[in-house]
Amino acid sequence: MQYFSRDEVRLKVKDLIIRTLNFKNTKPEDILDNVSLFSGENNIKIDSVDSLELVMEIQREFKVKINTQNLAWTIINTVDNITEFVMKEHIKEEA
Amino acid sequence: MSIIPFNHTMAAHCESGTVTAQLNFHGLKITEPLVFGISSGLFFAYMKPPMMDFPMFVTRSMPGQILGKFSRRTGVKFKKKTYKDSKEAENDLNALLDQNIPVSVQTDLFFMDYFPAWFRVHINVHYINIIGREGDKYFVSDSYFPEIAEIKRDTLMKARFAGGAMAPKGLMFYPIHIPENIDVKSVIKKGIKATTFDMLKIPLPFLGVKGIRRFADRITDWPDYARDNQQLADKILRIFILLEEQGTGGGGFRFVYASFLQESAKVLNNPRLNDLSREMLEIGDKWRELALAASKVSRSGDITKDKLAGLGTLIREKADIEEVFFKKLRKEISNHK
Repeated sequence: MQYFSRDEVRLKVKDLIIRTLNFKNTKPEDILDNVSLFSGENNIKIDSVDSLELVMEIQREFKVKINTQNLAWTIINTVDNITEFVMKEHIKEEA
Repeated sequence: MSIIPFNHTMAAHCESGTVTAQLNFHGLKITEPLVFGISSGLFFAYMKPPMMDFPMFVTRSMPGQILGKFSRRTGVKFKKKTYKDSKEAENDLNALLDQNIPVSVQTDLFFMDYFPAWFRVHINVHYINIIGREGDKYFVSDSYFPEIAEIKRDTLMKARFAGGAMAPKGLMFYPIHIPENIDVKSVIKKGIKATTFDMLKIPLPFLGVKGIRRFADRITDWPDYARDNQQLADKILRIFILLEEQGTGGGGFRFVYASFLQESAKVLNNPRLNDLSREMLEIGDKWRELALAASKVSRSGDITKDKLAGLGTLIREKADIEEVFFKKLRKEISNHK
């Protein structure tokens, strides 16, 4: 398992969001870390279909499982939540 | 302010979540997946009732059956009551709350105005727990909402007496008797056997695995029912909604069922059920893939027969893997001593 810092994971998450949902004119730094991606207050806005696409891509990219829908909605809500989840799952795996 | 000390938790599904929270409050420590699995909540049906203009499918048992089957199998008794008179329903609810008894009620989700607007659709079978009241508002433990919510009296009454299909008719329920000893091993086995029967053996072509196949075969007919392309797109998007959004726990309840099998493996001391739980997780992911594919077809704006046939192929794949899966599960539980 390759180790990544929180900042590196955060950047990978933002890249993944841009790539998966095809936000062509968005740069990683445009996406706010701790503002809901659903609310319209971030610089991008996603919906529930996008969130499912992200769940599946996060599972593939980071080799993690997000198996309950409530959890998925909470995780996908912000970049920070996704980052924390990925970090936590990898720490669990290492332990 | 009067709120009953109630452990509010989120759940995958409103009916199993509401029942579980009530049972926990009354001292029976049980998880939502166990309630869901024991009451054989997993199911599949594809049908076109004459009164509906479009075919529909469900991935769980009929609303209310989780409560009914759990009660029958475990011996837990619930007081259930529906009403014609909304004032009587309100008085009964208030009287119970004043005795510190949380009350589960059936509602139309549309009126749950603590949810964002995009989430609120008319579904007459949304179950919530009412856990207190103050002035003209009630406190709600809703398994889809992260914290205790509040709802105005008038709004709650509209939700409890909404009209239409499966109207709530003010239904309320709460446990009145929990047996001291529930044979959990036995009821788990009964629940699993019932689910394998429902998925494999009901001799009707639109139920269980046969229903999934019918869905696969007939999705290419959907343009014949649609009045225009927009309606067809909306109906195809509903595949996504029914599998992923409407309180299924994701993957059309398959993830909840996987958790049930994982817990059952421990209770029955049967590691093979753990393997089957992992298989069910993979199946859940495949239903998710279908949900996503359907949303893409819906949004493409150009819904051709070929694209629908592509969805049909994905659906047929689910029938094939679930047929194999439930046969293995049936064999495992039949052989379990």
